[in-house]
Amino acid sequence: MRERLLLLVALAVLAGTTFYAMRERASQRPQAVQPLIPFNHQKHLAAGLTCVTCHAQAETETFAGVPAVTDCVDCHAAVGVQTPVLDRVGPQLEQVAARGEEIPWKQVYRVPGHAYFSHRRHVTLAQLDCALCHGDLSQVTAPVVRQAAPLTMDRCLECHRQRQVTTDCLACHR
Amino acid sequence: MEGLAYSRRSFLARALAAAASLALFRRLSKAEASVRQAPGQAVAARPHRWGMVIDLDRCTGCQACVVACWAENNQPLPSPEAHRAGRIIEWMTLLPSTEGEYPAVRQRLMPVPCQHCDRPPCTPVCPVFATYKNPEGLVAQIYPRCIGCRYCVNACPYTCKFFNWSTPTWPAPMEAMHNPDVSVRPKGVTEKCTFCHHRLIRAKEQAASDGRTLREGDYVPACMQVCPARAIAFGDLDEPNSAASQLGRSPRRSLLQEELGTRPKVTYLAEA
Repeated sequence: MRERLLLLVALAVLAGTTFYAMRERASQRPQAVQPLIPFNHQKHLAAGLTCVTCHAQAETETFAGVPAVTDCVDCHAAVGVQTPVLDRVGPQLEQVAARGEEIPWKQVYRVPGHAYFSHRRHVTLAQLDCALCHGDLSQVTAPVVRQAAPLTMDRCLECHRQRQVTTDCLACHR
Repeated sequence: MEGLAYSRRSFLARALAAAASLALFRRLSKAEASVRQAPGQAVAARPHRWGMVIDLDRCTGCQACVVACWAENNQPLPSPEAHRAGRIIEWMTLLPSTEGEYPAVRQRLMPVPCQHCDRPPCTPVCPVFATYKNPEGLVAQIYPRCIGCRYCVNACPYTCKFFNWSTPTWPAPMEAMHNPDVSVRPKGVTEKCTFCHHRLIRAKEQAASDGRTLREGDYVPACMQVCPARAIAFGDLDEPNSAASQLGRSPRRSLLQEELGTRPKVTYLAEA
């Protein structure tokens, strides 16, 4: 009887640790595979750009948007920075721009279709820091492949309660 | 014997302690809720109370509102099979009625959206709080919360709630025509007219960015926008000068099944 109980406890502990280990691994797994372009947020922010320099619609629209590849090419042509990485990537980007295509960046931050999230509401009206959801990108050197913080309703509501803004379901659900 | 007496005493003591702490917790959380509510109320100066007036003397029964509602809210295309099974989803329906006797017979078509009752019969029956009346008087349906029990569908005396019996499908090019502001409801949830509340979210955001409060006409549902006869008025019923509340005071006014005491916020106007 006692042995059986011990076995049961051991099994439960094993199952628990396996579950947590798997969850831990899942939380480190990339959520998107980005194109092979070594985009570096840290360098761009250190050069004095702000988030809305490139993600221009964040202040006025629902979606923050990704800059067009022509923006990258034009800006780099104007600034004229020369680095080994840029010498390699620059011509690639120019080719993409010449073909009239875009860099196929994958969207990492995505709210489900039944929820309404507007960048304008949070960035311009509420004056929130982008880092609140997107993390501190001034330290990020590789393309973003996972969410800095999970986009869960719990997180939305926690913040809404803290700031004493509406928690009415209809304010976001649609 | 002694063991039993001890356990009974300790059980009673524990039960009492649990009940007391539960009562205390509920009181505390209620107090906290009221504290939390106060600043939110201060932000929205006065909650609106949205309502609609439909003038049946103006309505021609053209069904533009039905089509607009269908396109605006990503409703699945009605199929003959769905029609035969009585499973058509149509948030804005036309209720036909025949009045008078031959030779003075008159056919009337009455547009019926969700009545957004002030005392909705559909909300108290929801076991998961997926449908509720929000502070602005809109009767909401939160799709990811809905478990599809259909209690609310049966409770609605106006048959304005629709259940998704199957996954909604559209013919190929129409899949790309969905309104991005409205979610596509999955199979197994109930849906209903929302008074196009996604337009309210947008209107509020626009007004806030312009640094002003909502004005009359900022928030207009799709059915009212397209009505060629201008038979539909929509607005804040608590605002005495809004078109909806002015028309709503007309002597021609009537409510659908008023005797049920649901206090609908859709008023009908018709010469008796």
